[in-house]
Amino acid sequence: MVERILIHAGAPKTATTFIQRGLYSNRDLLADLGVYLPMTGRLELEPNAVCHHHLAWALISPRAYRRSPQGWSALADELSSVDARVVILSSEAFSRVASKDDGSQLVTNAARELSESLTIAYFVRNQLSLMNSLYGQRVKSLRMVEGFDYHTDNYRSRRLFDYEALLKPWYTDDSLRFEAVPFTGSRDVDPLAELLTAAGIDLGDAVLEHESDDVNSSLGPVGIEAARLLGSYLRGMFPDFDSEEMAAKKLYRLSSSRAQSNGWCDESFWGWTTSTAQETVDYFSSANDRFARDVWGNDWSIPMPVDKETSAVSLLDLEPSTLERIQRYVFSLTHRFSGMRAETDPS
Amino acid sequence: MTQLVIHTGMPMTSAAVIRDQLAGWREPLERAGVELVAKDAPKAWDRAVRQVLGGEVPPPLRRVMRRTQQGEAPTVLLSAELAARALGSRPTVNALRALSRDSGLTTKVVLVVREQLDLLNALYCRRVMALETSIGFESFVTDALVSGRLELDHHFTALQDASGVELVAVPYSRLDHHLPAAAVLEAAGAAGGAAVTGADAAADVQAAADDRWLPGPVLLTATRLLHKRLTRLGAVRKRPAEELGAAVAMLRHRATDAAWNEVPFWGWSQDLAATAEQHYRSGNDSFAARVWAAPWPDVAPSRPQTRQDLASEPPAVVSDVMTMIHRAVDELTAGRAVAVTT
Repeated sequence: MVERILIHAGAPKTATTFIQRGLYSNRDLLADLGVYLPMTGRLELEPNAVCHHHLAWALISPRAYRRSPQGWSALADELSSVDARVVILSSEAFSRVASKDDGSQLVTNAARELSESLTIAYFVRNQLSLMNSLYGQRVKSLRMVEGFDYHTDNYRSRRLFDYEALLKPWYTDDSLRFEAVPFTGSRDVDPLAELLTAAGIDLGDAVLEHESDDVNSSLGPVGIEAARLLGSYLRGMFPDFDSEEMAAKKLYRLSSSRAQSNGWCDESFWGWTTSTAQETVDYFSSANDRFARDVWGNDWSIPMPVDKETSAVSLLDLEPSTLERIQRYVFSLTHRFSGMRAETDPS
Repeated sequence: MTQLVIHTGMPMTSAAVIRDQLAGWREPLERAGVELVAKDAPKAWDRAVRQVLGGEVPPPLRRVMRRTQQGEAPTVLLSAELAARALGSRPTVNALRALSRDSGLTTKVVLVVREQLDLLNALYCRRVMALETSIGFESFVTDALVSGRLELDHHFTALQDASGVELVAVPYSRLDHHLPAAAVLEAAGAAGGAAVTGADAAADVQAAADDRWLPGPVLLTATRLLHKRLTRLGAVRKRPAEELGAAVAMLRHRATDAAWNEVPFWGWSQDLAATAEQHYRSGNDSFAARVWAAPWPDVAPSRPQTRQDLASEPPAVVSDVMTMIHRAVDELTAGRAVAVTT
């Protein structure tokens, strides 16, 4: 019997991969503590992580998952024979579900089919860092080639960044427990431990173990420009390029690794200028305060790094030697992409 | 008295086009009493102007002056952009004054001036397209502001102060786009100069249009990238100028074919433009007050900044630019000539 469901719903770019790999690495310890980590819904591309993206996607595209072994019915079947104090479902894609109209209710209803007791945990990160980090991720995964300002101008109004609008359906729902965990990005804090603590899982003297996180390094300023150029060049050379196709996903891993070996992840990227940062902070200020008062009982106190100097660079201002390396990176990876496509789809 | 007119101008004020148009009108100008004492080659014009500014009378000018003694009153017209720089020096202005006085010349300098924001934008484009630089526009402007070389009032103080040498300034914005030399003749007060201004040969018009041409942001970006890559490979120093020029011409040709340049480059952000305007304003006002007894006539253009962000351009353009640059670099580093057409 499942006593309680804990949904770790995001946000994206709040160490979710680290947490999900940590859940996998510590699965035996957690099992001893009465925590069950379902197999259903896990992402196949991340075998060493517990990330239930399929369950979130099943709420977005229910038809596609109607008879899927990765859907909610299959999960119910799996849990029917499980005796656990807590079942953890982890996917930042749940935040994507919640950002749609009535999406929060979809998550709540699906979980209630499994247990009457539901906890939703959400890591709350300041919007400047969140948008900055999301931009880097989108560029790195070849989904976006536009500049940082374009990204922030076009995404700022999305519900994902308005915590009040996004999370209110959960934190005002008396039938569930909602835990908002401030995310600071500090390396002194173990986000998995924070999640478990917030969910009321007592670790006692146990020490959590974590594997290294080298694949998920963020691109620095030069890496951002290189990846943008790669993404744009690929789209020019292959007009049907799709960042979701298998060859592109493989290329993403290869290009990330190449960027890292070129030293393009050594520095951190910060796309905001002090003026654009201040404007954005002002934009969110009132909603943040209302959200913080509702969930924590005080005004918003997560630091906003408004004064941090931008580290963004322009491709054209880079040293000739760096441009030479970027050009090699773009041309060689495009060549590899062509080969990967042929392997993936020989027709 | 012989009237000596020296046409010159700030950089990017169509000086070469004006000189070529004047040379092309040599015969009708002579019939109207305006003598071009230098032969058509630009070097000859430059040499004659250097001699005059050095206090010497070039032989052709001496011949004209003899005719003055016989009762004629011709106008002698010289034209060279280099004069503008030289006339920023007080000893040069003094040498010109002495020459005028000692030779009995009435001397007039016709100076074409251009509003600095517009000028810096054009100057930047020219230097990038000539593969002379690949720095960013903001750095280019900062260097220009620090150097002070476009500060009209300061640079031409000696010329404005000089008695015996008249300074006539013509705003670049008032030049006829097709026949800029006409405004110079008018400013020179050259008798009969108007008689030739109808001679708008197609070649003149084309040359004037080419002179005002600005690249679009994509072409400029591509040329900066080409420069950086060639610099890295040492090709900017090793390869002859005409081969480098062919590589740029190839990009320009492609830009025309693929319509990369529908909007001309404009590098000014609002903040940078405000800083530069502030920098030049008082000098321009002071110059205008002394030369025209009127306010500075030109308002800095206010256009949206064109971005220089290759990755944000349409993907087809990005792959096109990258491929073209790669080809040009390959050919130049292999010692082959770059074909202009693709």
